[in-house]
Amino acid sequence: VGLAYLVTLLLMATLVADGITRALPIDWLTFRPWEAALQQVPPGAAFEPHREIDCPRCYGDLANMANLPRYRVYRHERFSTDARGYRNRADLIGDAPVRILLVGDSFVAGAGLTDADTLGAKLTARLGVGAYNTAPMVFGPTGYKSLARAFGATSGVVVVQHLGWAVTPAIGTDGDAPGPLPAVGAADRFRGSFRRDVFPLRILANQAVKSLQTGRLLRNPFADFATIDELANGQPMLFRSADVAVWGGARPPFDVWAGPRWRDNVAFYQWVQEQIAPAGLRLAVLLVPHKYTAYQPFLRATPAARREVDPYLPGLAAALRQAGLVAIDLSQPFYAAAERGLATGELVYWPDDTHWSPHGVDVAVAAIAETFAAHGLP
Amino acid sequence: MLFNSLPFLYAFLPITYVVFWQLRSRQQRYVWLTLTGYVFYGFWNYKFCAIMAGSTLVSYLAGLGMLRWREGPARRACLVVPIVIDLALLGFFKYADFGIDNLNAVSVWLGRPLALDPLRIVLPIGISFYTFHTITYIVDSYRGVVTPTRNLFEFSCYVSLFAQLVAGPIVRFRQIERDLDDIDHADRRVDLDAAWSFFAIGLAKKVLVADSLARLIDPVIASAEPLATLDAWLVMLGYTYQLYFDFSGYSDMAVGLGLMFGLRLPQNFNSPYKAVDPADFWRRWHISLSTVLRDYLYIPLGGSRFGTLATYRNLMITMLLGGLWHGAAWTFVIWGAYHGALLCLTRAAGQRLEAVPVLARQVGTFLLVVIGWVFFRAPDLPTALRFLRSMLTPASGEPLADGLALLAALVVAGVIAHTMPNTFELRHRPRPALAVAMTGMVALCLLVMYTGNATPFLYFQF
Repeated sequence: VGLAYLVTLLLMATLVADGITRALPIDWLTFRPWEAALQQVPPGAAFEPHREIDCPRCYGDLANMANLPRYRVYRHERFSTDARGYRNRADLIGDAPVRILLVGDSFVAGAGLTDADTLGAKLTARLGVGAYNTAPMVFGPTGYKSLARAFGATSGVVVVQHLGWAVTPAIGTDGDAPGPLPAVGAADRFRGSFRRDVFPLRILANQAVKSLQTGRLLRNPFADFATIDELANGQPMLFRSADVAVWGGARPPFDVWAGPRWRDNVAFYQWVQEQIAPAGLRLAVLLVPHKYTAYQPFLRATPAARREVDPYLPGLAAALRQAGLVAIDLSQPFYAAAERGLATGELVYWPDDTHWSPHGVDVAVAAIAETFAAHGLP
Repeated sequence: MLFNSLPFLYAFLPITYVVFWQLRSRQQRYVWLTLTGYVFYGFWNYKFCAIMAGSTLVSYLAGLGMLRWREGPARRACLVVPIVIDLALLGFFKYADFGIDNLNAVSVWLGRPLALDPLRIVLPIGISFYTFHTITYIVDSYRGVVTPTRNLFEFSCYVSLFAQLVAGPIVRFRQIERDLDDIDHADRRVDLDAAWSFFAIGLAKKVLVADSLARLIDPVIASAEPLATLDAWLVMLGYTYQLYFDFSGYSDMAVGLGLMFGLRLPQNFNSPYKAVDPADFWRRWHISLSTVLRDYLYIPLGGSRFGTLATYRNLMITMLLGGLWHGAAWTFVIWGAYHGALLCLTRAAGQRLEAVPVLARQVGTFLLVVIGWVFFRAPDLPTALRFLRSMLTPASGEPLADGLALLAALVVAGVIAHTMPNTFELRHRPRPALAVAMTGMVALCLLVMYTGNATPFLYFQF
């Protein structure tokens, strides 16, 4: 048995293993279902349609991206998508007529949450009308109207989530929503693995290397992605370093950047409201604070002088309301829940994740329900 | 395409290999190796294949001309024309912008700014290597050292052989001529274990040692933060070993790949960091280049035949041009001049060096080489001088983030480079246990390659 024979055997074995595993879903290799559901997305869809992913030991994106295994908070996550590639489970919406369309990013889509804990599922249970999750796809008013038509809704609410200091798209940004799509086959998955350059053996290899790069044996080159901090009650908490740099670091004078952004955001949402009004749809803007802004006042290391509430979202909410739009600002409810949590241990965001926790979704659902009741929606 | 990439290992190499051994005739094998050479080259930038084809054709025709004209001006033209064309290509693609930059600088200095726009030319990868292949072929044909081939595909297969196409070794036609002539009689099994042994060792040198060192030192060199004296030395030692393991790794892989096709490529490194003086270093480092410079530049200039001063002049010219061959920047010129000066000093010292213990000479030579690499690695002169200042004068700075890991990597690399036999000194018929261990080493390389962070070889830029 010579070296040539052994190396050839090794190359052939890895080639075969590579080829076979490329045709398989990568559910078993990802730290959460999100990445697996994004591997084979047909044009126009948010996720791969007709998918059910079960992840018994998921953990947060910050613990993963910053390669901090010590800070993982393991949880069981089920992730289901419908025929359009959106995260909706038929049994959770049930027979309730769809009257709410949820638009947004990974928060509304439910990153880090099991199906039953997503905003759509909890809002449906709370209000008794179907809340259809279209996140994290960004299309536009045409898509909202065609989905409402597809559900036979002659009236309803489009809840658009707005995260922190996000900048809205340009006025006129529009697109349609996808119709029902077929399931993805093994051949599509195999072909797709070459286009995306993500495939099981690459993931396994990176995991093997990352397991050595935790700062003990080898330096952790990913550590800068997250900032490790501690709440006033001693609970450890990870934050996205980019958010810490914006809110916790030196900032330009508030009015210099906040004012123009408010104006642009309000103008965009006014335009959306005008577009969807003929279809009997009403826009409600859901303002969600970044994790760091919600928790910054309650961090152990934050000096008393810096324990300030981010005025950006309250300011945007006031400007939206002044323009006649419905705005649901989660800043105050989240600050209050975060403060209460110091005593109870309940958190509105996962400690190891950028996204809200099931408790955070409960707080959001309560705030939405209260605003809807006040406006007679949906 | 990189040797340390998955498409090369899983697609290009197996297809090239299997088809090659299915073909029976010499001509078929020449054509196939030519074709695969162009495919290999085209993966980087197919547009530059035409330049290589042009250079090949001109030199081939010149070779035919030399077969026809045994003497006289026509024969001389067959020598001069292809060399001028090759050097013009090299000059244009590699040195045009360098020339323009310097013209601008001189014109500013003279108070008459020209402000010429740089041409922003993309350097065709490997042009420094294949033009040297064709030039050495032409000169050797003219000198009668080789008989020019009448077979276009034999010649194009020699120029575009993928194993040595983009980063050498610089193989002279005479070194490979016999194997090319016998290519249809090559036995697939004879050297297969040795071929994989060379390839595996080269792959491990590149992927496991050189790239690991690069990950530790590249961020430090890229940062403008001041370095403490010890850290500056550690980083430059890191680069010293990185360059050696990277380039000698590539050369080992090239030798292994050549053997897979029945072609024996020459040794390019002979434990250069064991050298006892600068002249010895150049007999061990990038041997294929240093011998080309010796045979086609230093000796034609007069070598050491016309007295001491002329010898020093010839050494300096050879090393300055050798430095410039590596890149169009003053740092490379200074690096060449530095080594030229070291060679002159070595020559001046003569027999007196023999009195110094071998270990001291080895250490001294190594440290001098390390200092030279500062100019070789630095992106510009100010960076090089800043680095040298940190190394040669007491300096303080922030401690290295990966100081301990770098130290560990240096120990491993140093032990291999200074105390162990080089790849050509090894017996390439590994026993089963060693074969299994080497396969494990290849598996480890594959693991790193599968992460998708393959880095190009350092000598690709030259």
